Amino acid sequence: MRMPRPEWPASQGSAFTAAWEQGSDAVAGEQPGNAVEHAYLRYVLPIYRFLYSRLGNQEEAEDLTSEVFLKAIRQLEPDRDPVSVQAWLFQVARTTLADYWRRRSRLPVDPLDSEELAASPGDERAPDGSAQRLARWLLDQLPPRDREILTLRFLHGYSIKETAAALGITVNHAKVLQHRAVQRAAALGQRYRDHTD
Amino acid sequence: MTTPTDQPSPEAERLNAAIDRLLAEQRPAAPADAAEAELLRVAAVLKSLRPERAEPRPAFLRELAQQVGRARGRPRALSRRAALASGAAMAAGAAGFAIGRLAQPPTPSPGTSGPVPSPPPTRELQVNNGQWFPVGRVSEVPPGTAVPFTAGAVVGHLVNLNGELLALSGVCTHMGCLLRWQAAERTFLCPCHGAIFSARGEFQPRRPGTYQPPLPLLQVRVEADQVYVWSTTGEPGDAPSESPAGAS
Repeated sequence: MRMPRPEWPASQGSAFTAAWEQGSDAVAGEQPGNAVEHAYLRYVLPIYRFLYSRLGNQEEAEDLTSEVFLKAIRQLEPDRDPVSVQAWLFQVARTTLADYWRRRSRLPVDPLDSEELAASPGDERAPDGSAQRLARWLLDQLPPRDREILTLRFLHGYSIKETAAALGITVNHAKVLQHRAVQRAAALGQRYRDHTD
Repeated sequence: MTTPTDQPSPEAERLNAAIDRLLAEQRPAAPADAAEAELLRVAAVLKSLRPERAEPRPAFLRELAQQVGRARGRPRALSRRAALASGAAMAAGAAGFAIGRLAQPPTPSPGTSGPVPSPPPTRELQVNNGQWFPVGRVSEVPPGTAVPFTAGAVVGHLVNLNGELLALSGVCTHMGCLLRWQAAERTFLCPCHGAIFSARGEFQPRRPGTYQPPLPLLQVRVEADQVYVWSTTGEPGDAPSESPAGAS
């Protein structure tokens, strides 16, 4: 089966977060007195999205967002300038994420994060985009069969049953292929890092 | 080419379960070892292929706003304005809107010195414990444009209607979402339900029979090039305390 070349529509926020962003834009640049409030309103969504792009689910992304802000806010000096507040919050987010992976997996380092993160402080939306870029790059590198199954499962959000049906294989076989495809993607991810270091 | 007899390994089953969890926006089970952790991280990256991205829940954002405020030891400082921003999704309720209510009868503005470029507001926000907030310069609002401002606890837009300067509340009168200025149409759009207001803040029904109150107006004063809006911090302690007992 030939998969159509996937389209890459832009991410869309909810009406709520759109309104929130509008609100934080309105707040931006006003009232230097309250750096904490300002930092929260302005950066909670970028930080959440950054974490979400690494964790892939709302539950963990919310938990770590809380952790980042509760950790950061205690140390935030009111007169820090906005650019450094942003860079610093992303730094806290990075270390929080690294700690989290370590806690969960007892991994010594956090290789997947190191390279794209270097690009993040300048643009608050960059980290979000770079996870997507990496994902697309991975798909492009993989053999067609792997690409097919990962596209169905991740891009289209098919269940394993629907994926198996679309590919004309059994559910068990789909699970096996999926496992191999993700393993190959992980190996590629390793190579990607080696290239970019 | 397919091998239907393939039995998935426990690892393949666990990975599949983890992907199911990710797709349901839930935390996957903790990985059994470093190799599995690596696969989970790749799966999370692959998940970013999905066009929809789950945004944080509004309730989560509000709760965290409060926690952050408490952690800082200044709960009010954060909660008011954060509450105003998060009034975005909530029925306006108490938090954001205790600050100002639509004055029932149009009150004549009491002796505002300096030029008042707009006619006496008829939908003026009643402000207790008010003060003039500098919100920008006239030159920053060319005719036909609107710029957002924050004056204390009130978020709004300064609109220049061919020289006439208005300060409109930036919050939709339906559910409290923050309005967005549509420069081309010269209207305000509510991102939540699509309500449209004119540049004067009048509701523009898209279907006959629908009605929403107009956007409240704030008093505007111009001195030299500086624009001031009459508003309040919403925090009794911060405002000139004329009636500290009255604000709760």
